[in-house]
Amino acid sequence: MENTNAPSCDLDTFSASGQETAIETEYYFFAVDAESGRFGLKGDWTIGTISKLEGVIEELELKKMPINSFEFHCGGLQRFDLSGAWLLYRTAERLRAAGFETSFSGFRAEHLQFIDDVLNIEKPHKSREKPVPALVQAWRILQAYGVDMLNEISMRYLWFLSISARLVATVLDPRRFRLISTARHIHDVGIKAIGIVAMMAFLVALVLGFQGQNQLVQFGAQIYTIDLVSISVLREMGGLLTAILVAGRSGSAFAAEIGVMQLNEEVDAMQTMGIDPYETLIIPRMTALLICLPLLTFIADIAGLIGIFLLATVTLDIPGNLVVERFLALEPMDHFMVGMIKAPFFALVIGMIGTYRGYYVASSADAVGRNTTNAVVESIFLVMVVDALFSIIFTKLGI
Amino acid sequence: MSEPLIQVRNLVNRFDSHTVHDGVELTVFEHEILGIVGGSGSGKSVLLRTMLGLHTPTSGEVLVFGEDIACRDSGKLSHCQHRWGVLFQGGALFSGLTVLENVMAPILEHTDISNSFVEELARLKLTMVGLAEEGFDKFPSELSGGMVKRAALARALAIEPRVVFLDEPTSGLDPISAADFDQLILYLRDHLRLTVVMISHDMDSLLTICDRLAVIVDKRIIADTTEVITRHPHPWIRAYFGGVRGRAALGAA
Ligand SMILES: Nc1ncnc2c1ncn2[C@@H]1O[C@H](COP(=O)(O)OP(=O)(O)OP(=O)(O)O)[C@@H](O)[C@H]1O
Ligand SMILES: [Mg+2]
Repeated sequence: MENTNAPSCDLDTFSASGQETAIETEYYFFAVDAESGRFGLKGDWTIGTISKLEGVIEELELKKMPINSFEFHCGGLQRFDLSGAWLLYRTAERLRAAGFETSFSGFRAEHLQFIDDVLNIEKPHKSREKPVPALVQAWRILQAYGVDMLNEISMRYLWFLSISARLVATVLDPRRFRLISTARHIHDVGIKAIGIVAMMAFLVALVLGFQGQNQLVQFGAQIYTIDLVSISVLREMGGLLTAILVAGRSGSAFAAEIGVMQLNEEVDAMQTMGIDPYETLIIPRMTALLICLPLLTFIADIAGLIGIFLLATVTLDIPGNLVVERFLALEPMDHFMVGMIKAPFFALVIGMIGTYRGYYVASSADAVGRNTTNAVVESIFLVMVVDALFSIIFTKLGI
Repeated sequence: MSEPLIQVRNLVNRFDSHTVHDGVELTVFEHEILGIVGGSGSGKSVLLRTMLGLHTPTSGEVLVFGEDIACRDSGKLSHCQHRWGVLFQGGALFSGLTVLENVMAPILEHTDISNSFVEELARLKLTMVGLAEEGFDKFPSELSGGMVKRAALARALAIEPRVVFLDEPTSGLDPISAADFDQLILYLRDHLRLTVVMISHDMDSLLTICDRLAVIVDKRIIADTTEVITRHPHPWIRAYFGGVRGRAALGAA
C-alpha cells in the first residue's frame, strides 16, 4: 500500500514467446495474449506507475492484433486508483471505437468501484475544435493584435482625459482634496528621493565634466567644460534623470500598490462605500508627483552645478569667481526654465502610466508583477518621447 | 478503524508567552472522517499547519505516515507531500493558472505522465467534484466561492492522496451546496478509500459525515466518536452542541 512510486522495473525486458508472431507479450504491469485477446492486469495501476504504462500500451498497437475482442482481466491487480482506472477505461474505449469488443473480468469489489466511478462520470474528453487554416489563423492573430493595440491606446487616452478632468475638478473644488494622503505621497515620492536624486545629478555632472574636459583640453578650450556641463544639466540631464529615477521608484510603486488593492477588492469596497477611488488613490499620487518632480529637478540642477563647480575649481584650477562669472554669462535662467517647464509633463506621464497600470490590473498576482515592470518601461519611454517633442518645439521657437 | 495514519503526541505550540496548544494528543485512523472543532482562536489552523509541516511546534511529535515531521525535515516532508492533499480555507488556487492547469500542476510536478494524459486526468477529477466543463478554462478570479472550493478539492485529489485535509470546506456555501459538498466528501471517502481530516464549524456536516470529532478545549484535544462527543459533559462542548441536542430532543418528542 505504501508504495506510490513505481517499483524499479525494466519494461524493455519483456519475454515475447515467439518474436515474429507476438502471440503473448509480457510486461511488468500486464500481459497480452494476442490469440485469445486476454489482457491481464498486474501489479500497481496507480498515478505513480501510469507514466510508464501509458507509453507501452500505445506502442503495443493493440488495434492491429488479429482478433476482434479483448478481455481485461483484473484479478492480478495489487493497487489501483482512479488514475489507473481511467487509463484502463480509456484503453478499452479506444478499442471499442476501433470496432473491438471489450469485456472486463476478475475484478475485486474495490476495483469495480473505480471503474464504476469512471463510467458514471460524464466523459471528460477534450472538446476538439475544428482545425483552422494557417492563413486564417495568421489573419486572426494579426487582427487581434491590431485591435488590442488600438484598444490599449484608446484606453490610455481615456484614462488621461478622465484624470485630467479630475485634477481640474479638484482644483475647482478644493474640499475634495485629500491633504493627508497627498502629504504621505509627497513624503514617499519626493522627500525620500532627495538624497539619491542629488547624488546622481552630482555624479553625472562630474562624469560629464571629466569627459568633456578631456576632449576640450586638446583645443585649449577646457573653459568651455563649464558651458557644456551646466547647459546640459540645466536643459536636459537634470530633468530627464530625475524623471527616470522617479519613474523607477514611484511609477512602479503606484502600479504595485493600486494593483494589489485592486486584487484585494479594496477598490471595489471603496466604491460600494461611496468613496471615490480616483479621489483617494489617484489624485493624491498625481498631485504629489506634480509637486515633487519639479522640486526634485531643481535639486538635481543645483547638485549638478555644485558638481561642475567643484570639478572646474579643483581639476581645471579655474578660480571660483571666474567659474561663476563664466556661468552667469550663459544666461542660465533661460536654460533652467527650459528644463523646469518639462518637469510637470514628465510627472503627468509617470503618474498616468503608473496609476493606469495599477488600476487595470488583470486580477492575478503575476499580472501585478508584469504591470509594474511595464509601468516603468512605458513611462520612461514616454518621458523620452515628451522630451523629444519639447526639443523640437524649442528648436522651432529658437529658444 | 484500522491503522493510525497520523499521530500527534504531546504537542506544545507557544507564540512568545501565549500558549496555544499544551499537550495535544491526536490520532487519525485510516479511512475515517475526522472533524476538528474548537472556538475561534483555539488553534485549529495552527494544528493543521503543524500536521502539514508548515509550522514548527515548540515541542512534541507529529507522525504522518510513520515519519516524524515536527522538525520539518525536507526529506521526510517530501515523503508525505505526494500522499496528502490540502484544501485551504480560501482555496489557494494559483491565480495565474486556469482551473484545469491548477489541477494539472501537482500531477506534472510529481509524475512523468504525458501532458495530454495529465489533462485527461485533471478533467476527470474536475468532473468528479462536479465542476461543469465551462469552468475548466476559467481563472480562479472568475469563479464563484462554491466553484473555488470544488476546484480546490479537485486539485487536492489530483495526485490520488491517501489523506486530504480540508480547512472549513463548507464555509461560505449555501446549505444545499454545503450538503452536496458533504455528500461529495463522503462519496470520495468511500470510493477512493480516502482518509479525511476536516476543520469545520458547520454543525450539519460535522454530525452527518464525521466518524469522530476532535474538540480543542483548554489547549488540549478531546477526541471520540461523534455520538460520545455530542454528549460530553465538558461545559464548552455542552454549550457548542447544546443547540443540536435540543433540536434532536425536539425531533424525538
Ligand atoms: N504566527 C503566529 N504568531 C503569533 N500568534 C499566532 C500565530 N498564528 C496563530 N497565532 C495565535 O494562535 C491562536 C490560534 O490561532 P488559529 O489561527 O489556529 O485559530 P483557529 O482555531 O483556526 O481560529 P478560527 O476558527 O478563528 O480560524 C490565536 O490566538 C492566534 O493569535
Ligand atoms: Mg482558522
